[in-house]
Amino acid sequence: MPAMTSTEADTGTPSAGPMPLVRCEGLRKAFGSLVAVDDVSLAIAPGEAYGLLGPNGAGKTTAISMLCGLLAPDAGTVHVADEPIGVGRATGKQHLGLVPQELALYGDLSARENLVLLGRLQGLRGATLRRRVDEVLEIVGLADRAGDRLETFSGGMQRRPSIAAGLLHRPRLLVLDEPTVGVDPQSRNAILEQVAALSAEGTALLYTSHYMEEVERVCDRVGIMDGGRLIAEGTRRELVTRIDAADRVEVEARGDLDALASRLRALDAVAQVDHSDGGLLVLASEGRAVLPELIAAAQALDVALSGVEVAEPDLEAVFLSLTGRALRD
Amino acid sequence: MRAMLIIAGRDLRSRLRDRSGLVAGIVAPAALAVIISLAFSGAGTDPVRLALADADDSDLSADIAAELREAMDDVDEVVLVDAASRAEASALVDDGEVGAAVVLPEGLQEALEEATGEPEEVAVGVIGGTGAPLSTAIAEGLAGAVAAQVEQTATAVAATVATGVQQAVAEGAFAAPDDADDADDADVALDDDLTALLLPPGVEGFEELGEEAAQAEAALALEEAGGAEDRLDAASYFGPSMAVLSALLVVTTAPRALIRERRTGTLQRLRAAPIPAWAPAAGLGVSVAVVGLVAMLVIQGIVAVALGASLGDPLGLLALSLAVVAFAGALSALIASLVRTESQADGLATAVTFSLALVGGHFIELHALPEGLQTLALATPNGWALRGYTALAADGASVTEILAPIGVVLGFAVVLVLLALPGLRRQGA
Repeated sequence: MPAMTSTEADTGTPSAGPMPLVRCEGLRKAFGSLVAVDDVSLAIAPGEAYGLLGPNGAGKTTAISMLCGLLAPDAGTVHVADEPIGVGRATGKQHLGLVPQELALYGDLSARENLVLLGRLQGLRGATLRRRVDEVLEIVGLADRAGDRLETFSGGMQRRPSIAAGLLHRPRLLVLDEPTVGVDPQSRNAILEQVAALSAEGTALLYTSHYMEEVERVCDRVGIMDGGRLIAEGTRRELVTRIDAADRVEVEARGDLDALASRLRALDAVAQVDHSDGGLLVLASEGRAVLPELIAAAQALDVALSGVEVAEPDLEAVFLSLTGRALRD
Repeated sequence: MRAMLIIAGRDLRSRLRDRSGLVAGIVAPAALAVIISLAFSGAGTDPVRLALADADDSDLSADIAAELREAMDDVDEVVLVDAASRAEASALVDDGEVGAAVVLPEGLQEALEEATGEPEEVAVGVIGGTGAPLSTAIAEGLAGAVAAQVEQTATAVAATVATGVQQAVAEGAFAAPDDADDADDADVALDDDLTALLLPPGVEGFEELGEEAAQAEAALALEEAGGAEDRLDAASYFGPSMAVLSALLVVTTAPRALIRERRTGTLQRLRAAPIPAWAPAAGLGVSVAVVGLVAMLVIQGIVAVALGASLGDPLGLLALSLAVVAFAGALSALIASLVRTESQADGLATAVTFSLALVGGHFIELHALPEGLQTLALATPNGWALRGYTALAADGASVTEILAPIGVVLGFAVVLVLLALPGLRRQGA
């Protein structure tokens, strides 16, 4: 799945299209007086990468625990591939692969032993199991360390068998709960690449994080949670549009900047043009769409462009606009 | 079921790799069983040496001394050493040659012949050695037995004399006290003084004397006291005792393991698989139950082979051991339902296990406990289990004859599981 662009067309929510793979309706969970999840409903289409974004304590982990049948909701239902999911039910869980926030594997066992154990619990046996274990070890780049005990792995390295364990049984939906927490940047990047590759292969993803850039990089649609509620949902473009923020196009140029500014103001996509130190600052609804006309106008006016940078409004801005708080307060 | 066994297999593999678990669960209790068995069996310990001094040097004292020697000949743990006098006996005690001494006092036979002996006048002496409480206690026991024998003999003698007097009175040879003035042919009138002379202190009349004489016991003898446990050697008692303790120690590690799995997230990972919700906890339970049962059988095997312990019917042994493991598992479930952290689990498991062990007779044989504690032991399933093991070993009971202890132990298990279920459901275990 390519990185999101602001030119991506909005085709409406997946729930309006093919039958969703995942349907969560009216989920609610309270712990005493604390309402951790309050009336959360979401749908994930087959092959879609859905991001659940929110600060710590927003209710993301509680929500996916209920989705995976690990926590009984006080209200609401969960269906995966039309099968109800619940605590104590085994049915439906074969469609889910969980990559929890903790390592959640046995450190005294090797990577291979952990995967064989979990594969057997998923119903895999014999040669099929052995073959699949080899495959997923290859996918996550652990083939050469399959026999090493996990307690000898670095923190970032330990995430790999955790992801491998989630993939063993070829789930239709892979649930990743903050998979890069506590991981070094290099390992983090590797994990994101692997996740993006899985999404490209057609595995549906539910990816939770409080890192906006991860969600933007990996996910097709994003749900923003705060205080246990799903406060916004949509593609990145939809969310940004919702807060009516414009792209910033910073132009470094020499020449007749006034004339250039006048030409740009005449464009429909341009909301505002200001002079800045050494150039122009253009606010546009779709900054990248303005670039061809900007370049043509500069050439016609003999203005020398030395640099152009487009900064699109991000989910951080969306969250700030919706809640009045930063995503990582 | 398959998921439960897979999870149990994983836990067993981890426990085998973790040798400290094997040491704590099997090696340590086995060593404890051997050590305690050897300590209480008296193997290799020297017999108690007592001196016996005959200060009376009479036929009676010689007879009493001979009876004592004859009685001690059958007791390997006690050796009697002759001393010529009280002084020599005291010297032997002071020198450490003997632990204590029994002294037959001077005037013993005379006091008996007079049949008027006050207890303090025929007191059998005991010279106790410093730092020899066992020897002194045995000497006091022997002295007490001798004193009782002497008193009974005096009573019997007086009764015999009185019987003879009564016969004589009946035949007219003596006149009864009240008839003394009317006696014509009587050679002797039984006046108050003569009557007092014939009757021992505390005896009011010839009829009472006759009754006391009839109850007089025969020769001095050491009686074996106690029940079946006394006939059970130390290894045969403490082998099963330590085996039960081992099972409790091993199986009650399950709550800690469950909490650790919850903390590390592996429990969540397991429950995310398409398996029954109870499978992870049940798998842990099966694993510790297997280890607990193996530990019990290994320990009992060690004491049987190494110390010659007699454990009884193998089927009964297995059945009772399975019941013990079931109880230990139920106890683990209850502990798991009550605690939140691993340290809480460890603390509660240890406290409960050793409390049960102390009350149930694991470190001191049941029959040696005060009566109140013996009764309290009946409130513990492990106390019942030890009774079952004792019946197997000492009485040669079969499995059908120990159904009561097995049933009680299993009954405790059922109750504990019922108590644990609400808490476990609340925790989602």
